[in-house]
Amino acid sequence: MLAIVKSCGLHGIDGFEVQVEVDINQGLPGMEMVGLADTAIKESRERVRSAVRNSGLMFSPKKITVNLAPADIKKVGSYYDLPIAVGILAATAQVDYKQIGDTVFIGELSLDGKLRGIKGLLPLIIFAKNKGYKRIVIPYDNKKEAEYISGIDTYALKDLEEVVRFLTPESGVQPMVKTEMELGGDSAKYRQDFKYVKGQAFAKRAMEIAAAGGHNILLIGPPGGGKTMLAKCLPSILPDLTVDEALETTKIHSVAGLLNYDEGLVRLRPFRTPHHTASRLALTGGGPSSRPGEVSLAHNGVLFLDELLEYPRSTLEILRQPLEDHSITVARVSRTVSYPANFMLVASMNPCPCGFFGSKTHECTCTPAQIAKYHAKLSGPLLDRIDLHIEIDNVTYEELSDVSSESESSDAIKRRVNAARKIQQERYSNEGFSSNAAIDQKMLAKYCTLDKKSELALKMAFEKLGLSARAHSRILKVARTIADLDGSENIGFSHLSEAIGYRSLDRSYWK
Amino acid sequence: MELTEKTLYYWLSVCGMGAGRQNKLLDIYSVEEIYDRVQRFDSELIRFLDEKTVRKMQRFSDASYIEKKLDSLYDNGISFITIKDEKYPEKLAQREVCPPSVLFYKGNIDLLNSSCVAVVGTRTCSRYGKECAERIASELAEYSITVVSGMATGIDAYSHQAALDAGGNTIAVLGSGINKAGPVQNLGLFSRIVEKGLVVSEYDADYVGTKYSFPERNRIISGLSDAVIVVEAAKKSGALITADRAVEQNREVFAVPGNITSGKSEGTNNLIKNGARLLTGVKDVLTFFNFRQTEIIKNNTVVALDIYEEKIYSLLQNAESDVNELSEKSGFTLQETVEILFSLEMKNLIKREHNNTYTIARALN
Repeated sequence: MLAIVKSCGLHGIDGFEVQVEVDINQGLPGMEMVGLADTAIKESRERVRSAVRNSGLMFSPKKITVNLAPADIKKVGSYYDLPIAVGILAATAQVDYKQIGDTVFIGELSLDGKLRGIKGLLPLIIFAKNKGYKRIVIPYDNKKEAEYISGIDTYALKDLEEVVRFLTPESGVQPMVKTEMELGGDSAKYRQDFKYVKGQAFAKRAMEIAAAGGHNILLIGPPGGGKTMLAKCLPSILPDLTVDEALETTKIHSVAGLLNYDEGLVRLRPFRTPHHTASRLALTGGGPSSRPGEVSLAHNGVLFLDELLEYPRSTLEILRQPLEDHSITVARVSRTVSYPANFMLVASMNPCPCGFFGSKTHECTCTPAQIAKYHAKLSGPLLDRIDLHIEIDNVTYEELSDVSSESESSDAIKRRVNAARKIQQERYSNEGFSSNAAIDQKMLAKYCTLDKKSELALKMAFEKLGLSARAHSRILKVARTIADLDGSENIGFSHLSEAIGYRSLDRSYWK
Repeated sequence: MELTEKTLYYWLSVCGMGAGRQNKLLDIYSVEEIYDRVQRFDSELIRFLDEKTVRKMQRFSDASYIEKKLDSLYDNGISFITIKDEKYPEKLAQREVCPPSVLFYKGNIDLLNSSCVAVVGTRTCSRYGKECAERIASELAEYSITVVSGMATGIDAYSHQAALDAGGNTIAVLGSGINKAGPVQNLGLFSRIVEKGLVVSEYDADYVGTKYSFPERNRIISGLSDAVIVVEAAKKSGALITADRAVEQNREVFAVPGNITSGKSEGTNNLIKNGARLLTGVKDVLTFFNFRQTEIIKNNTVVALDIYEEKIYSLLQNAESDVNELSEKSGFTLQETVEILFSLEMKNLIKREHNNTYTIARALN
């Protein structure tokens, strides 16, 4: 007898439909699996057999053929244990085949019949919903992940026995209750807080602007100056995720298997800090299963590259495309996958090999030639894509020990950032992007206009300070963000002059 | 081709003899005579020089060969003047200088006869040295005094740069041929100097500098100048050779004092100990030479400051300071401070340095 069970597979962060066809016929006892299945799936025959038997059910002693259709797409992962088991049970009439109907089954089985959690459930459930399926059965472990997707009846079940009960008419197994998404959260979730950063008001302000507009930022300073500290505080002031952003980010984390089962959702903007020994593939994604890389895991969040110049040049050049297109395409012989990669780049570097060029407290021992060589490592095209670069000097002991000056807390900064981001989201609601950093050349004329006085000031600044041409659009975008933080509709002189102050590397004193 | 006196001087300068031997030779014979004697392989000349040198000179003496070399020189946009030329500066032609018989150049040759002051120093300078060099060079430029230096990295390059930035004149004296100007990172500067100033060298266009030729040219740096300012020099620095030459040539030597803890100022501090004049500002040079202030065209425009700008400016007058500190001391918010600083910078009154630090760039009138 033949049974057909619906399931889904993953391609990148999207799902595709898989039909699990189980046919039981006369012949030598055994189980044959066809349809381009990888090893994990082929091994499922042993898991399914034990799981069925240990659940007190009968495993047919006949010839079982399983086909995963479509047969020309390679299937990976352990999603198909459950649909295969259900197919076998239906083909041997142990469950009611009619009940299966429009239900999607996804899940891995353990030998005792328990359902195990799987990676990448969120994209699958969204896919099933969009495909118009009415019901889906998922492992109980993945319950949290499915909680926010309404419009499809979701059954988070614990083991095979429960699945059988579910397929019995009028069994009374209820779909899980969906909840509203709750995003953001208070600062208690973050270990670092700007409250604890002494001094550095200028740098903190730059971080606030970067967070508000999603601008890429480069921190330059001597060792021990607090670059890393500042960067680590950044998540605590990042604007809250929107529902769409949260879902998209969760999808990626789900596919990568990085999702916490108890959380079920990425609620905070991700903060990824790959070490400088990270391989290129670790950054871009790839490997046999085209796993998403760090740039995608940082989607809608921050990619922090500490000691930027320690990364091999080839690794850094990879960042150019995702920084421009906000997505990355991982092409392999077997398949080509596109992952979103819209991240904010935060990088830090020393000003020179010894680290103290321009420092007030230490003397730099580097020759100008050494410094020039050091800076040449920073590729122009990458620098082009960084909106703000600021210098950070060591904090003096007086500042450190000053207990009287309580710094502003991250919560207070975050309120301003959220307000500014909201203005941007409303302004760009019809443009397909949501932050000032994403404004392209065409949009610049529309959204970043200057009054006469500022126009003149910008022209003058270009001539006097020897700013490079590439600085132009960067300054305008940052000025737009500063105006938004100010709640101002137009970019004013003060906004512009502040934006120009955040272009340290364009200054002649580096030369 | 008719070999003119100028062409013969060119021939003499590229025969492989140093300026010293050339000068000795020219003391006895005219350049035409030398050429004539070389052609004849004259025994008197051989006794004075040596056979090998004279053979070499003979090898180079073919008229068409010299013509070809000159053509390629002009093709590269390089010209030259000889010691006989009226444009050849008197101060350089002095015996003590050991003047080069030919000076190759690119740029504005008239600068040779302007008032010149040399600004020299170490290649591995400190931030202090850089600041001093820039300040001195731009002030000199404001008084329309030409800044002479050697286009090396460090103090030399910063001096040229600052002079040009301030709209002034500058002369670079190379230790190699003009086609082989270096170092690479200064090639941008090189083309700026060619355009707005003057690059000179006593060496043939394609001569690659040696470790002897660079100290050699230092005598021309001081020779062209009325005074030499040593900005920063360690105990053994090439800049001290320039100072030595300057003393031999009766030029006044000024030295910028430095911290006694800084090794990079040891050379300059020693100079002061040994009698060099201590320099704290360009005024020291001016008063020494009795430059009359009234004659000097200084493009001073009256700058109006509002009370906010005045406050920040006066804070900076006390000491250089960074944005955070200024905002704290002035009581303005960070954003206000940044805006005021920007306005002041646009008025050329202050200058931004590393780590968001600002310093006074120009005094109020």
